Parts: sequence; structure tokens; C-alpha cells
Amino acid sequence: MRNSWVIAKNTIAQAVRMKVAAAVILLLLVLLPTMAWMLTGDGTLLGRLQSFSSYSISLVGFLLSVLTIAVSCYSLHSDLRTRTIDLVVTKPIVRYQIVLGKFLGAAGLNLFLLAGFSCMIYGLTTATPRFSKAPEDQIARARTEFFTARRVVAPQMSEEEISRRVEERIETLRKNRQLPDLPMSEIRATLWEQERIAQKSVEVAAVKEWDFQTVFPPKDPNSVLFVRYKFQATPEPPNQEVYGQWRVGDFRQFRTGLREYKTPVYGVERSESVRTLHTFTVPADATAADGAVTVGFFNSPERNFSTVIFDQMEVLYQVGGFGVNFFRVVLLMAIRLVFLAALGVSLSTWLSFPVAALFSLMVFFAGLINGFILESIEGLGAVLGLVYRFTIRWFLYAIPRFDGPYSPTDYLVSGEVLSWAFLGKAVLITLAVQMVLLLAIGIWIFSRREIAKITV
Amino acid sequence: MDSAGSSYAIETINLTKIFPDWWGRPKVKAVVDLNLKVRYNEIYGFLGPNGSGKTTTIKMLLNLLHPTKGHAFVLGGRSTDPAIAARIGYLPEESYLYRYLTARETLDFYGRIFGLPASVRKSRIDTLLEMVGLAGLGSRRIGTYSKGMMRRIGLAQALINDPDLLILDEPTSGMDPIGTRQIKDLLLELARRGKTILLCSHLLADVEDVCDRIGIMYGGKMQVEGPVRELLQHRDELQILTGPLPPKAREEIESVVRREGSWCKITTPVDKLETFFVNIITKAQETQPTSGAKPGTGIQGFLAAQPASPSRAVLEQLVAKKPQPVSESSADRAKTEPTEAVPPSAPKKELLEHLTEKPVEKTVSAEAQTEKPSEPPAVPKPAVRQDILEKLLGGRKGPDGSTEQTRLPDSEERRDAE
Repeated sequence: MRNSWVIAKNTIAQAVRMKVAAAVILLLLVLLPTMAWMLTGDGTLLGRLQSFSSYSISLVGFLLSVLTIAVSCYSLHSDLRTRTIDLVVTKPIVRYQIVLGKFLGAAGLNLFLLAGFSCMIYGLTTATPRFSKAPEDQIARARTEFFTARRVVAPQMSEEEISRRVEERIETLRKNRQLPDLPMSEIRATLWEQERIAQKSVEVAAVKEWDFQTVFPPKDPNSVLFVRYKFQATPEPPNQEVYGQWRVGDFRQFRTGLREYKTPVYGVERSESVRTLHTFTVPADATAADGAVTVGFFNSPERNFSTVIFDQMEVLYQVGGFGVNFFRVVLLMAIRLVFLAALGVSLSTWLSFPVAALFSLMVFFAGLINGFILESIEGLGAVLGLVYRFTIRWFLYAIPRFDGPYSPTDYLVSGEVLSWAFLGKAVLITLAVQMVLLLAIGIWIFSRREIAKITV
Repeated sequence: MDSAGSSYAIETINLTKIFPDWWGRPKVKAVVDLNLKVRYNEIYGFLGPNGSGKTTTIKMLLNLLHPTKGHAFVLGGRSTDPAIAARIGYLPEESYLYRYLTARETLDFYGRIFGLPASVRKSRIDTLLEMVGLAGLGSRRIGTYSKGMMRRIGLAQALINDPDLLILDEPTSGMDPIGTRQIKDLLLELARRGKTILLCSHLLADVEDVCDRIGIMYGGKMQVEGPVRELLQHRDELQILTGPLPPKAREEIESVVRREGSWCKITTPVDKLETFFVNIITKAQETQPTSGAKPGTGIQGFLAAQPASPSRAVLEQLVAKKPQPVSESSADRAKTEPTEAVPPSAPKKELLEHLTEKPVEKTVSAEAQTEKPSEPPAVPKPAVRQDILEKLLGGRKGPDGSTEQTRLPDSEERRDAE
């Protein structure tokens, strides 16, 4: 291990003195304070904090990812090209220690920079309310929606109910001899999608209820429950707004006909624009002791004439503080950098710098949209689907995901908690499996290659 | 084949390297069935024109290339074994050094890989920088160095671990004549200290000056091999050096020689250009400053440095002679190599005194100079400091008062000692 550290230190010295790292450091030192000053979001304190945290974390993540790729791909390749490796491998050092050292150097440098710039972002973020001169209500909102760590609970979607309806409709069509001349799987998929949308739709004068389980907000009497949603309407309302009457509480009390409610049911009336994320709060005591809570929406015919389709519906409640959550977000970014360092070093054991860097960048960008690609390509036709299933799909599954739940910015912007369990899962998949496999391949290749090989 | 316990510092068995073309078809036979044997404590000159397979052989010895066929053993094992690699110093044909590191950082980097403690590293770096004449330039980045200065640092890194075996590929390439002279002095001193040196060079005069044995490669095959003096000796000619003589005495000498039925040619000896150059620069260095490399202290500076305790103990260990196998294991060795190993436990004081008094370029014998202009025997040596040498040797006396001697004396030395 001693030799690996010696190589790691040399790799860091190389990166620092090749000026790429210096350029990135300088750029971030200038840009981060400027962004904290310039980005105002929607003009509110919350908007300002969300804009800065989103852009700053994204910028630091992107630049350090590129720097990691550059350093990890360049270092070993440079040693091979300039033949400095000839001297190193003839010393009492085993080749795996060289690969490990290069990896530790590239990862160590970038983790150090990540720690430094994360501290800077944290300092600028927490200092913003003090220097923004925002009114008290905005500061309070920022405290409850940004400087927090909230658990997100999605409603239980009854897939059994959807399946039952799909089978009923198929039976009806068969009896009426109206089944289209298509494969049964295709008919079933189409009906499933129709029923899924129907589950999200609320027609005029109808009521829709979403049941949530395991909602356990703090016992603090001041704690609140957040209801967050996004909808669209068809036909489109003239003023782009939908009037909604909401109820939040334990609806089982209605359903069982209790005369006295054990927990309160809160009512909220709001008129809100379509295709925008909205949040309202109710006191947390709306939740039943067993963690059940229901959110109901009434599409009032008095003011609405459109069917409302909910794209998103979730309930949030506070489970922790901003500081610890920020730390976990930084760890999630660190996982990405460590993986990229392993990828770059592993590739550079047998590829030249341009090829290794290009391939690493491709993996990085594919990781940024991996989830989107996987979802969108799943619906390919039979032939294309076959090709995809045996080629790209495996590649996409082999590389880590950097988007969706693996994107660090979403957690900070929406004040959502990044759980230790999820972080552990990311470490297990990305580092313990994918990274170790990559490093093992790199070490295997480097240990067997002829350092001074020439082809005539 | 297990070569553990071999009496050779370097041994190859049918070593072959064939380079393929892009399609993997055998294209160039760089080395063919090479059976190289380098004994402990000798300086072996590995010669040959460009493309003869010298560097390829070295790279196979150091596992930078994989042999197509055959085996290569170094210090009785494989160079991939860290315990073996820790005893090897290697200077490649070009100075492959990290250009972004300073000279001091470079030596520290390699010292760390060898696992040297910080105090030992520091003292060795100081003495090595002093030795290669870059003491004042240790904080400059390697990228700003001239080629010759890079060679000096390359040599220093090869010595950082006090290796038992030095493999030097063109060590004097790009160096000025003074540096070249210092390197040669250094090699001789290292060999005298029991090191084995494989010297690969195009500069035949350098090889001739320092090597005990040479092998000449061509087309990947060993063409000829043997002790330098045996290969170069004119057995039917003699050379007599005298001081100034009047014309009459010269005529008498010529008549005596003719009377004995031989021929005689009397000329005035001239300096080697190297010697002349060294004299001029040595004088200039006393008065004129320079921003380039300065004359180092030679091996004495490296070996005789007196750092504060506890690094002194380490340096003592550094100069301590290491036991080397001396047993004969192959019959052909006895046949072709008349120089026998002298057990380290039997040093001869008279021989040592003789060695320290005689000029350092001990391989330039009278016989070897018959075909070239004669050279005065006393050549000023800017790098050799007798006081340090004596101190060095005087501090390592044996129980009988003799000084330890690890290098095998050649035939001329043995003759002189007797």
C-alpha cells in the first residue's frame, strides 16, 4: 500500500502542475461567489437558494467529473508515452500498486477539491438568508422547504385494481366481438396504459383520493405535512388555472362512519396553474398513529370544466436537518467521482488518452441520462427491441446511473432527504461492484502487458 | 528453470525476442538464443551497433518486454520479484524522468518506492546531488534541465538504493567530457565496492576504459565475448615509455632492438582529447562561475558523506560490502574466464595500497595503447580525492589491518600485487 500512496502523490503532483486542475480551481473560485450573488431564481429567498444550490452543485459536479476523467485517463497514458513508467516498473513495485496508485491519486485529488468546494457552497448557501434582507415569511418558508431534509412518500398505486379493470375490459370486448386483430400482449399493454392514466385523472365533479402509508412526521406540534403535486388539464382552462378543493386526513374515519374523529381532517382551497409543481402544508397531526393519511381532491363543477390529470402526487415530512443531508449529497457526488477515476485509470491501461477520455465522457454523459434512455427505449418495436435487448441494454445496465435518484441537486433543491440506505445501495452497486470490476480488469491488463512493446 | 543460487548476476538461457507486425506475424528477430552470463563484481560491456539487440535484452532482463522464448535471470531470480528489483539500479538509454518534478523530488520519489526512511533519503539525495554535480540545482524542475543534466539525475536515481547490480544503457550519452570522466570514475569505484555493472554503450573508448569483459552483439546474436585486455592485446608487440632522451640514446635503443631482430618506432606521446579538455575546464572552474552542472565529488562524495547520526549508520551500511556468491558452477566459466573471484575475507593490504596509488583508468594498459598515441601515465583527475578515498578505505580495516576489498582483481593487478 505504501507504494500505491507514493504513486498517488506523484499523480496528484502531476495533475496540479499540468495546470488543468489549477484552471478548474480558479474557475470555481470565481464562479461560485458570482453565482451566489447573481442568481435570484423567482425573486424569493427560496427561489434564490434553490437556483444557487442547483447550479453550483451541478457546476462543481460537472467540472470535477471532467477533471477526474482528464487526470485518470492522462496520468498512466502519459507515463507510458514518455516511458517514465520504464523506470518505475523496474523498481520494487508490483504493477497493481501502480494502477491502484493512479486511481487513488485521481480520486483523492478530486475528492479533496469536492470537499473544499462543497464547504464553499455550504457556507454561501447558509449565509444567503442573512445577507438577502428577505421578509420573515420568506425566511420561514426557506427554513421549512429548503433548510430541511424531508422524506417523500408516494401514494400506493393499486396495480391489482388496474389489472382487474384491464381483464374486465378485455372480457367485455370479447363478448361484444370488438377485440382488435392485434397480439393479445399489445392489447393488454394499451389497455393498461389507458387505465393507468384513468387512475390519475379526476373528471369534473369527481373526487380522487390518494392513500399514503408509513407517514410518521415528528411529534412536534409545529411540524407540518407537505402535499406536493403537479397536474395538467384537458381541455385547457382559459386562464391556465384549476380550482381545487382539498382534504387531508385519515379518511378511514369517514369510510367506517365514526361519529368522532380521532385525528383532524384539514381542508384547503386553491386555484393554481397547470404544469407547475405546487406545495401546500397542513399540520402534521392529520396523520393517523399508524402512519396512514389520505389526500382528497374534488374537481369542483362550479369553477372547473376540465378533467384534471395528476402527473405527480406525494406527501413530504421532515426527518432531518440540512447539514447532514448536504453531507450525504456530497457523498453521492463523491461516489460518481470515484467511479469515474476507476474508469479512466482502467481504460488508460490499454487505450490511448484520447480514446480513453472519449469513452469515459461517453459513459459519463450516458450515465447522466441513463434512466431516461432505459425508460424511453423499453417501448421499441419487436425487431429493434431484440437488437436493443442484446446490445445497448446491457451496456446501459453495466454503467452507473447519475440521473433521477442519483442526481445530487434534486435533493437539495426540493429539501428531500437522501437516506443512508440509498447511499449504501449506491456505494454497493457503483463502487463495490462496478468500480471494483473495472479496477480488476485494468490491473489484469496492466500486469500482463509489455511495457516497452513495439509493433514493427 | 530455477536459477536461485546462480553464480551469475545476470544469466540468460536461449533468450529470444521476435517483434511481430500489426497482424501478429513474426517480423523482426531482435534477440536470438542469447546465453549471456555476467558474473558478480564485474563490469561487463554490452556492445553492438544500433539494432543489434542490446536494449531489447536489457528490457527483457527487467521485464519491460516478455521473451518470445528462453529465460532471463537477474541476481538469481526474476526482476519482477520486488526483493530482486530492490537490488537493481537501472539507467535507460534516455532519461525517462518526470519533467514536472524537481531533481530532489525525483530522487525522493524513487527513494520512497525503495522504502528508504526519510532521514536516509535526505542524506542520500544530498550526497547524490553533490556527486552528480547538481547540488545547487536540486530545486529546479527536470523539464528545465539539459540532456546531460538529465543523465546525471538519471544516474543518481539508479544509485538511490545502493544497488548490487547496475544496468546502464548509454550512461554517458549527452554528457560533456568531464561528466563522462566522472561517470567512468564512478563505475570503477562502484565495481571496486563489489557492485556488478552491465554497461551498454556505443562509446567504445569508455567501455574499454572501465570494462572487465565485453560482449559484442550483432543481429541479435552474441558475436564475441571475453576479457577486454585479452581481446585487444597485441601479443607480438611491446611499448616502452620513457622520459626525455638525447638523440644518441634513442639511436642506441633502436640499434639494440634491431640487433634482437625486431622493429622499433619512437614517437612523442600526445594527450587524449578528453584529458586535454578536462585539464582546461578544471582550470576554468577555479575562477569562473556557471549556471550549469558543476563538477561533482565523484563516488567518494556519495560513499564518504558523513551525515549526522542516525543516518550515518545507514551510510555505513550503504558502503558495507555485501556477500556475493563466488562459487563456480559451470565448466565453461573456468575455461573462458581466467579471472577468479577472490573471497571477500582475504583482502591484501599491499594490493589495496597499490590500487589507491595507481591511476584510476586502470584498464588502459600499455599493451592496449600500442595502436594509438601514447598517453602520459599521470593524468590529473578533478574528481578523485585521495584524502576521502584513504579515509574511506582506512575506516574499513580488517582484523589484520588490511582494508576490505570486494572487487575481483584483474590479472595485471594480481601481477602488480605479487
